[in-house]
Amino acid sequence: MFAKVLIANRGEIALRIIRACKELGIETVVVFSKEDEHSLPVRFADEAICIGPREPAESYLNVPRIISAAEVAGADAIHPGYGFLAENEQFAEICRSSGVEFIGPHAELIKKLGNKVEARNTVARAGVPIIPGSEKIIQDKREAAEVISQIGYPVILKAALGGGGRGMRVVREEKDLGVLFDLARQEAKASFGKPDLYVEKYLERATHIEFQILADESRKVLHFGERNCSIQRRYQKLMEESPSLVLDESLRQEMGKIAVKVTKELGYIGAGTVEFLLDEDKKYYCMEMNTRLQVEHPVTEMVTGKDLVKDQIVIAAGDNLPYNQEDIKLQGAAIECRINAEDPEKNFASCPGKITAFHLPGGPGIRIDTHIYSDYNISSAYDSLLAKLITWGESREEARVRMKRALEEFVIEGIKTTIPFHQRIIENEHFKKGEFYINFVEDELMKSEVSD
Amino acid sequence: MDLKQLQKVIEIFESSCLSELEIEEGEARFRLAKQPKGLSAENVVKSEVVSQSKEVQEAKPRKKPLREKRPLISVRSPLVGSFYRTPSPEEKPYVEVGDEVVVGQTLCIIEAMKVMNEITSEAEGRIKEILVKNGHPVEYDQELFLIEGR
Repeated sequence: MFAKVLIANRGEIALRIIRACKELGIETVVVFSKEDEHSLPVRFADEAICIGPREPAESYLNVPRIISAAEVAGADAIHPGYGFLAENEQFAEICRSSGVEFIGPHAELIKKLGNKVEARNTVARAGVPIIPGSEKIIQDKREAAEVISQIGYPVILKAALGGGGRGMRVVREEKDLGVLFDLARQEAKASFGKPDLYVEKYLERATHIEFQILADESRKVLHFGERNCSIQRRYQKLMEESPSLVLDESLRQEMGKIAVKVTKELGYIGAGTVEFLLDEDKKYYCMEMNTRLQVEHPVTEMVTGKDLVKDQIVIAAGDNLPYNQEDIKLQGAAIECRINAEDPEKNFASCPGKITAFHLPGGPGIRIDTHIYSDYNISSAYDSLLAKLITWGESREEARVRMKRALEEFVIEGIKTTIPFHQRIIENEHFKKGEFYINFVEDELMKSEVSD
Repeated sequence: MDLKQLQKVIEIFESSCLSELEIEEGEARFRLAKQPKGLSAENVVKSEVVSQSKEVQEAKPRKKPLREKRPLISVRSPLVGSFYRTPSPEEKPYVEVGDEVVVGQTLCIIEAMKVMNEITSEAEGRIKEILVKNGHPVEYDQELFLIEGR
């Protein structure tokens, strides 16, 4: 096991990793920017090293500074969290060549899965259904039109090196293809350095289902059931739940096996997520595999009782998972709301500022992963996630009602948050019945907003 | 005292370390005074430009008369790494307390990822304090030296 882990991240996930390390008896060191001097990770880690000014490029994204901090602190592993350098294959490579273990998959796998076209083809070769689309990068509009003539509109253009919802454009009619193709290319170039695009059939009323995976060096691959992450806005997840009401037990088992198969086929080791889209006929398509710990991992922890972060560290240290597939049972239901510093009334504009009053919900079945406190200053330099509020219930309805209650108790003053928006979703009749899909927020909630 | 004599007195006064001078000669009385050095406009501007740690200066109450106070400039680490006072283990330190340094002079080395980064002085003055021990780790923006400016 590792003696000392360096955490190359900030906010709630840095805190989450510190907690896991402490329970494993591992010393922790966090790196931080000048902006985060007064943050909770800095306070709760055994050591904290300032590595640069507030700009991410000079701090949390600066590889030499982070490696230097690891050397100075004598850390034997680095946990990248999510975002920042979590899916940067060069960083993973430099860590290992500097003699520091990267807590994540091997650099080659990050690279392979970071190229979505290559990932699609690998998955298809394993005999797993993928969304109909292009088998290679689309060079121009003529090539795009050719592929679309076979799969039909609507389609979605995606960046080959993409992620996080950028460089994606839905095209519904042929006349829009030209303009949207150019736009998506520009966005892909700006966000990922390369304008490469591929095209997929766009599934209108699909559900986003993902399976949590852990795989150790003995090639044991386990799945932890699914998460339904269909409550999204502009491809950004807002709420997640496990299990999904859309899946019955036999479909869950089938998709779980597919997720394990994909993981094995790739030779993947570590914590990962296999993402699927499920169409209205409950036909599933494998989309991609994420090579990091995900924001929404707590919902899985709540229903399985497992600590995914601890197990991820155990695997990275070369140890085997101490349990098997039959030991993983989904119990009850969990829902997560991502509370962001955004103003839902102003098109979710980010809302930095100082928190003047703060109160956390409590009572049975509540978990909150957050780094904020009263008088904390939300910086405009970083993402707007304030807190993850997770509720557990014996039934999904209990978890839902608990969420409603917890959202009422949650007080954050001084800045705008997405709490009022979550309150609307939780009370929505379709949401209550589990009838929602990836465009649900835009189609149902934004629409009803106009008619209100 | 005629004008020529007065001019001479002023010259002597200016080059002296005196801050005030009064001369009485019969009915005539002359009083010469200098502005305390620490307060001259030029100096204040300079110390603001050079020093990155105004807080440090401001935090300490000024008990002594201003003219004896020289601006204190802190040299901070631009990166995270290990602090070394010598070019190599066998050699003498770049600077010691009490040394006069000039702008651009190497003060220490910070090793980051096996690369030796020479840290040079941005100020002119005397090394008042060395705040980090040789071989110890330093973080970004950590104070390394205090230089007493002129």
